[in-house]
Amino acid sequence: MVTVRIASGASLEICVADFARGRGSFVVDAVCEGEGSGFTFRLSSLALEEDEKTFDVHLDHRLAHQNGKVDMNGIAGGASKLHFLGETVVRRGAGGTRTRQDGRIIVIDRESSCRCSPALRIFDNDVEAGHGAVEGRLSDQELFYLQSRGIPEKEARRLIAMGYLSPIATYFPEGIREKILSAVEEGI
Amino acid sequence: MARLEIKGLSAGVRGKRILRGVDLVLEEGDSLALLGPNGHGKSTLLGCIMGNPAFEIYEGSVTYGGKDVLSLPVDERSRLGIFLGMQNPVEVPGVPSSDFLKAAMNARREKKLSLFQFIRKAEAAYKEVGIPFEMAQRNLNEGFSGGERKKNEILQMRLLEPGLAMLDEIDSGLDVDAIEKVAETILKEKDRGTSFLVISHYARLFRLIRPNRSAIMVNGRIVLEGGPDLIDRIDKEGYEWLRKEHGVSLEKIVDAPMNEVSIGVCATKEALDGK
Repeated sequence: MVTVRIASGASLEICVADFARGRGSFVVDAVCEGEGSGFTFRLSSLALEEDEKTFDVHLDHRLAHQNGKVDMNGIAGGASKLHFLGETVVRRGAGGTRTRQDGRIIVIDRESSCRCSPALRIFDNDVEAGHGAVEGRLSDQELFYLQSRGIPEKEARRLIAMGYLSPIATYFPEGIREKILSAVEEGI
Repeated sequence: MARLEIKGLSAGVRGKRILRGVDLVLEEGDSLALLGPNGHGKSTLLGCIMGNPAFEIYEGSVTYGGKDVLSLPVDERSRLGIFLGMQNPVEVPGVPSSDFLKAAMNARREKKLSLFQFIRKAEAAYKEVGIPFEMAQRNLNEGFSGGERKKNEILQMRLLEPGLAMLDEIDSGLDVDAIEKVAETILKEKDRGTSFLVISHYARLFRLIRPNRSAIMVNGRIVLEGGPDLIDRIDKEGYEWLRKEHGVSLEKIVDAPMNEVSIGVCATKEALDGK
């Protein structure tokens, strides 16, 4: 569990590239306490075989003109379960705040499952807030397109999954970036 | 390069028949204009040959170079030399065009291309088709304009050097200059001996690429075959004359829907619960 409080004018960005194996939950509790503060959380997660992972991100906007962004992407394969939960609260007094929460999970095998449910609670006016959730299977037509150019199905799936998970690497310094990309590659 | 033979092909979508017994042969080096009104099965035919999972095959056969195409997975059809330039190429988010092209080119070679060889080939093809090479860094078709997507299809055709190139309305969305450029590339491929099966509603493209044959599809069947003269006639007169001169009905046959079943709410719930 990660708990953070962000003071006036400060902002914090947390990027998580998760290719670990196993069961567990990762909880983030972020409170934007000061006026004009900001919080960003980015996640790329790969769940395989018997993995069960839950990511639960709470973001609390308490004063005016704050910025928030929660962006979670994941792939669930094998018999794994991947859950993206979370709640963004904009309290009374946090007018002028802009915040967004997104979750996207692609399920690549028949036995894998996912749940993606971002929530928003807003108690003030003049707030720009949005949330989105996408749960889906690997697109037939994307696979067909790659295969129609001679790329074998396995390689095509790998390319699509890489395309989905690897953008997180751009938020990390070089050195770590390579580690992340090879972890994605190995995982897939 | 090889012979394509389609025999009695019937196919459709979710039980709704679109192709109703297509017979068509494309000899080595032929280029054929596939004509016909909208919604009568032209794109479906090309999709079935390539293996688009959206379509179901009910009957018939397709062979290419004597090989049974319909029994092969999509990627093997491509490696056999069949290429489909799609009408609406999909966006593949997160996959850079250059990675995709390299994987596609390497899929058909024993010895993989070095990065240098790949860049040299790709750069030349981008230039030829008229796409800035920087676009190789962009994700495949993501945020591409209609014209860029079509040029990108032609680029892939050029790099993959197919024996049979099927182009589905490759000229829609292209400006006049781009059509000429695309036609030049098609002519170069033709010189290499590639056969072509081309769908277009505009005579302009056909005038530039000069197919030697044409075929008209109505209601999922080839109703008339001929030379390139049919293209000009349709361009001037439309399809009405088929009715008078050849007795072809242009009314679209719509499959009767499956027996309609109404289910009560409780029954639906039980079905959903899997009881």
